[in-house]
Amino acid sequence: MRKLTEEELTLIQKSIIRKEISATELLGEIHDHYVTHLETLPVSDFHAELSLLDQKWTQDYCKQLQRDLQNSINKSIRSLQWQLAKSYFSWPRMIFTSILVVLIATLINLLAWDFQLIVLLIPLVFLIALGIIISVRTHRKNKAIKKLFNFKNSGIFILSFQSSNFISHVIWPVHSLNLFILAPRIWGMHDVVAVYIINMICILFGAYLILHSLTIFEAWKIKSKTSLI
Amino acid sequence: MSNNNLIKGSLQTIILKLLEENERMYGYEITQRVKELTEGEIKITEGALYPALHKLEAEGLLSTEIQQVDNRVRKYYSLTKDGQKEVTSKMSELQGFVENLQRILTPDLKPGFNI
Repeated sequence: MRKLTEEELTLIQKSIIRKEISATELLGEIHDHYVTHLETLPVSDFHAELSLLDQKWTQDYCKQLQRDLQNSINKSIRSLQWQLAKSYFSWPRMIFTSILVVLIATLINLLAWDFQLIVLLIPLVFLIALGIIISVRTHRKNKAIKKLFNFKNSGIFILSFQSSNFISHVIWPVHSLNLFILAPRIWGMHDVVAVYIINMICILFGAYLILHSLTIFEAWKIKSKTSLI
Repeated sequence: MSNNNLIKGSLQTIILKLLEENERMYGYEITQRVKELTEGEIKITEGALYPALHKLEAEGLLSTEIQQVDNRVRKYYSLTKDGQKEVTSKMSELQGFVENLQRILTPDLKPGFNI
């Protein structure tokens, strides 16, 4: 076992950058694999072994690995959220939730449109805040990996796939609000659809948003203990 | 001898078993440990190992821990509680399979033979 020289480390870095990987989860792992393997070999074997490693870790293989990683992260977040949602719906909680929904449904008819929006805005503000927290924490946790590589002028934007998946789960309800609630109002559809229907949609969507916010928060708490987010 | 197909079917079990014995391991270490235990007869390729590790992690059977080692970051894998349960089930599944395979290959062998 020997310590690699700066020149050798730069060659490894350049070789990995050529693969155009953007997931920090993979970059760190591949870099460690290269360095650990090359450290065990004498200086004379360095170039030949680096070339052999490049033949194994081809750009196509790395891209495929990245795609698979993206899919499995997405799948694991969704299944974790589903498990958490299922665990929430025990009988006493279901009764409590039903009472809460009925209460909100009664109250919301007494409120003006602006107040009805607040019902939806509370979980949305929570989700946006969670998105910001995830971004800041990911930036901090990924600093060490970003430092390993010089991506300037490479055109590659590196990011944590775990984090970007979480953020997309956090952000899409905001787009849903625009699409289903605000846009119809802009187009004047609220004059066509009866107010009580809009209220019911608000309540159902709000209940869904609360469940989504709570489960995504719990999922993030679990995942953040063991990953780069 | 090319035994890639045989290894492919039992790769997850190999990973889980190694992690049960070693608490936590990183990717390169797993490939080397398998090579060492089988005296070079079985070589796990990177092409098979990392997708399997990521899949097991996504299924919640493995957890990961990032640690700064010298001038780089290292990703350690370890078993979760579900992963520990899965090792037992995968091992008995594999042992049952090997036992049945033995019966086919050597029909004279008495039932209940354990490898």
